[in-house]
Amino acid sequence: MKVNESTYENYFLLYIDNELTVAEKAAVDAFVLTNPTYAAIFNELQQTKLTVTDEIYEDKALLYRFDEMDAILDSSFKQSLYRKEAVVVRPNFKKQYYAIAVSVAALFVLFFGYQNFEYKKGVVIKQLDGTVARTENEHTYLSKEEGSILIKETPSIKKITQLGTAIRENASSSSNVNNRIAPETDLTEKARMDVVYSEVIAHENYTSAPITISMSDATAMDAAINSQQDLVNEQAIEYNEIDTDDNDRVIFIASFEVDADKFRGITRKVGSLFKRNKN
Amino acid sequence: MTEKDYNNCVDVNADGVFRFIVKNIRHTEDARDIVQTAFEKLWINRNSVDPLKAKSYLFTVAYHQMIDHIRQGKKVSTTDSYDEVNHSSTQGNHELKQVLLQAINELNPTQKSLVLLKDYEGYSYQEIGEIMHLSESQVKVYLHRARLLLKTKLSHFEKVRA
Repeated sequence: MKVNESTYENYFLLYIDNELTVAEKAAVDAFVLTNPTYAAIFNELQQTKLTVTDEIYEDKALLYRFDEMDAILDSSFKQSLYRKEAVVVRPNFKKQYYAIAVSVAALFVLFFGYQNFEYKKGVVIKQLDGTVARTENEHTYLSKEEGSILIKETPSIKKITQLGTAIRENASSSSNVNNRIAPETDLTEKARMDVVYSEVIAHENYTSAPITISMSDATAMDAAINSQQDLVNEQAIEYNEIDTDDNDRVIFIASFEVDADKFRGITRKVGSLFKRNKN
Repeated sequence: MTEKDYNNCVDVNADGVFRFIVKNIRHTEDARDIVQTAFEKLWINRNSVDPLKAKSYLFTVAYHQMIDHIRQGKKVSTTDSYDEVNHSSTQGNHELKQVLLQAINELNPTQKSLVLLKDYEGYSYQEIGEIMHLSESQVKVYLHRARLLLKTKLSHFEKVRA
């Protein structure tokens, strides 16, 4: 494509826009030189081209950036940033108090509870309904008479039961025994129960209704007397149902009498302490 | 694009972007805001921008920011806060230059941007098309029309002055 009268305008515009090759530019220059009429048009078109002005963006400093990802603090500055929180040790008297209280209570319960457990072994329970039952311990018996009395079957009572059996066997044959414990039967088991019961009665009314045993065997008599004294010394323990509506109620922990309200408060505190520690 | 590339881009292109925008909207403060927005976007997307195309990216962002600015009807002045026509008392080429600037301000925004990008920044038709989302032939046609319009106005001014 050559520069001529029909194409000059397009070439002139491309020339001004700097879109021509060097050869094309040379062709345009030659055309303008040889055609002064078109040279004026070419000059007018060139005047439409803006010249670069010197506008300056004054806020360049605001545009500069520093890559946060590459920013590295020097070690000395980092050291100045480190902080250590002061540790204040505050003794927790409340917790210590609770811990001591719990420990002491646990020791009491273990010690006296064990003793009480041992004490309950081999006791005879006499119920109000008169039922007779044998406990798990083969050496304990349940009386059928009145009163709720627990009697430990001590060796002395065991000896008396054996003695009672012997007396009944002797009475049935010789009829020279006069006492309260051989009224009607010759059953060995019944006799043993009666002997135990007689000792209970003797314990309750030993001053007014002592056991009298007349027998020829002096040794057996002495044993009976000694066992009677032993039985008096035995502590009868009565278990009563706790009346929770009673304002003056007390409960017994081992041998200690404790106010029920105070005990409940302590158990709650101990329970809450363990619950808090668990959380 | 690294931090160094970006800051170098600020040094090289901030003035050009500002000039291009302020010549279009003729409001210095708004032009500053647009320039700042353009560079902010360049910084945010620096990892995906080729340093060789950073200038084109900046002008593209700035141009479209400016179009949004114009569409929102914000402060496009014809008499303006930008002080360039107040030198009408000067003579010769300077007077002709002021007339040319006045004529450019009377072009539509697309033609005006085409002229500014071509004359101030020296972009090719293809590059201008990429910035303004136009085809190369559209750029050529629109730009030539703008040149002929400016030529007509300048010829009229020359005749009046003569």
